[in-house]
Amino acid sequence: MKPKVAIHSITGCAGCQLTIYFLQDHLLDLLSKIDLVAAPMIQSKNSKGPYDICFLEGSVSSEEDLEKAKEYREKSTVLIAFGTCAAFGNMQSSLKYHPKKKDIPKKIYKNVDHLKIVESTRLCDHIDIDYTIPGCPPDKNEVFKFIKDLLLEKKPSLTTNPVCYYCTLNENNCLIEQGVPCLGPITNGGCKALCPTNNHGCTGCRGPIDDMNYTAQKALLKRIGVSEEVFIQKVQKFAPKRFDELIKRF
Amino acid sequence: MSKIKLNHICKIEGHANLELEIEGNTIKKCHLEAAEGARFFEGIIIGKKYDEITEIVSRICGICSVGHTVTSLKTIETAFGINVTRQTEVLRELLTMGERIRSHATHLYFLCLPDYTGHSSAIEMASKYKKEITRALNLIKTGNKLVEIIGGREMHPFTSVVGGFTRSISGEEKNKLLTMLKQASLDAAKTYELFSKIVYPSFERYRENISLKQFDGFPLLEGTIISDKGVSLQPDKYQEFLKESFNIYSTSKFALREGKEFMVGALPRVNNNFKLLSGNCERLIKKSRIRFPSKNPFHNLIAQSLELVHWIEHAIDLLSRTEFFNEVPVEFKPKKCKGIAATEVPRGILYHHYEFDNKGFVTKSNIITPTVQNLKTMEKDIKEFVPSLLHKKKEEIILDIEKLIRAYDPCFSCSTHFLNVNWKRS
Repeated sequence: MKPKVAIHSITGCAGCQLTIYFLQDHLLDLLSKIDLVAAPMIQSKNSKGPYDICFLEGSVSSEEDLEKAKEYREKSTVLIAFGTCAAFGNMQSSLKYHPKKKDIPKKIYKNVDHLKIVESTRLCDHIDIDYTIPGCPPDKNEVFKFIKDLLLEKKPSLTTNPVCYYCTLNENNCLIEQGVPCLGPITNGGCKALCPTNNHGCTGCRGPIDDMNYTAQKALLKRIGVSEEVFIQKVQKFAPKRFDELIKRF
Repeated sequence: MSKIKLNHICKIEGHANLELEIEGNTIKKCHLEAAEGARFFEGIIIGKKYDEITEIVSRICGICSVGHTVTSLKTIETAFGINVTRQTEVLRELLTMGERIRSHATHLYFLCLPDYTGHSSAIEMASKYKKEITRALNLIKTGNKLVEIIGGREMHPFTSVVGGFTRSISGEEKNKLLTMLKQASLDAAKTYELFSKIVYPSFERYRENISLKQFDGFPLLEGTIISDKGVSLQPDKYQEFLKESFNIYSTSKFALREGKEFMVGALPRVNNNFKLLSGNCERLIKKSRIRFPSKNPFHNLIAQSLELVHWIEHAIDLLSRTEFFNEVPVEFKPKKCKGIAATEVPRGILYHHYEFDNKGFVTKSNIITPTVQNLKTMEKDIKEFVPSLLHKKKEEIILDIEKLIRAYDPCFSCSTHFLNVNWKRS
């Protein structure tokens, strides 16, 4: 029997599920090996479950999001926090750390007191997660390999090495040494160092590695002129809460 | 009184609900509501440094992340008075064309076509309509390849930065793109033939067509804001004619002009600029029965298929005429200033507006996406369209309403990120 697969989303940009629909050459082949029972973005008939595998993108940003996340969890054997919104909360969850966060709700509620504003949070703050595929968007090759492994009933392996590891393998010149701010030393490298390979500093879209050296990273960027204020803006972009948790360990 | 409630309309970008109340032959209530949680992008970028914000606002939307990226960069560059090189302009135009191709192809084949063949999805169509689905995948792949090669990846491109690009493209990459685009130009022509032959509901209603007008061609990344009612304004005056308002039932806002609804997107672009479409488009239109300007919102699909033909042809021309070199981004100094840019993205005009302090940190921001501008028109269309359907079965009525909503190619991820407009402008 083909596994029943669902691709669901809560608040986000829909870019993560597009990485699956954009598998292009592999798409039809992949779809012939699964039973895509729910994918509201691209089909009208969608099963309410149960699902063998459920990809869930987006962050919990409304009461309805939370209900849906819990419902999908209950109905799925394997649930994947798919992409950086689901895994780390992404930009929308950084509002909590915004220096003007106190002004924002006041100004907002003046106009829109009918809306129940919910602080954007990660899936793992509410439900159990079986696998996390970070990335904004996730890396296509990693996603494809992950799905293949699941279908073959192999335990999928996801990268835990930092971006620097892949920069070395790619024989890139270090950007920090050239004065370009880069979060490669502390960021998960499942992208195989995509940005630095294209001459752009890593901005941390896959979230921090668990054993990051925050102090050393800060010192490195300070040396090339990145102020404390801007450094905080950089690390709070994609995975603010995860950074918060890891920094507390120091 | 009968009520129709469509919770989580399928095959659109983002989440939306529709609530309809019908009494006799009249529509008592028609609420199209965004069901996304609020993400407050315009609030998040306040206080951020100029080179941090493009990456943030790109995340408003996956499928039109190029649109947000390029518009954001143009806004920052306008503010600081940065003149980028012609090569940078060309690369950004190509990026935008790539996105136009993949976005239109995805919308036409994956979100709309199944409605007209009686299928639940394009996947379900694949066995019977293999040719069409293969064509769709090829068009999407071509658009995505353009974005990936130039922008670094298919979604949320990163190589385009304030003042230029972090890398150029190689001769080998250019040739690869040209080969793909040439194949795709055949697919695009067949797409027009397919979508111009579909029998759409014969629903016509005049709505003001608003688009950009570029002096040297079909509008893409710059130009004057024009309408078929005689508007002609520079983008930095957008607040003079666009008013945004809230509705209590939605996390999205509405934009109105002089209290009235209007339309943006492929159909208004073609309605206002059809004489500037490429020669191939002209030939294809002549061969078909379709004429522009059109008042039928379903013809937005035909307009999108024409844009596929036009932009693929244009991308081939632009790529083959340009030699690419390695360049470094233009240098500049941040200053206290304001920048506004308007571009044509797949779903219509996108406005970004930022203000900076003297160190280049954002003090104010405003973003108006195409779907926000189209929401009221969609509601009005539904109100006028539904009475003509009332003799049908409920399921058929719902499908027809969904077809109409999808024809607009709404993006609710995009439309839901604000709620802070008064605060920004205080």
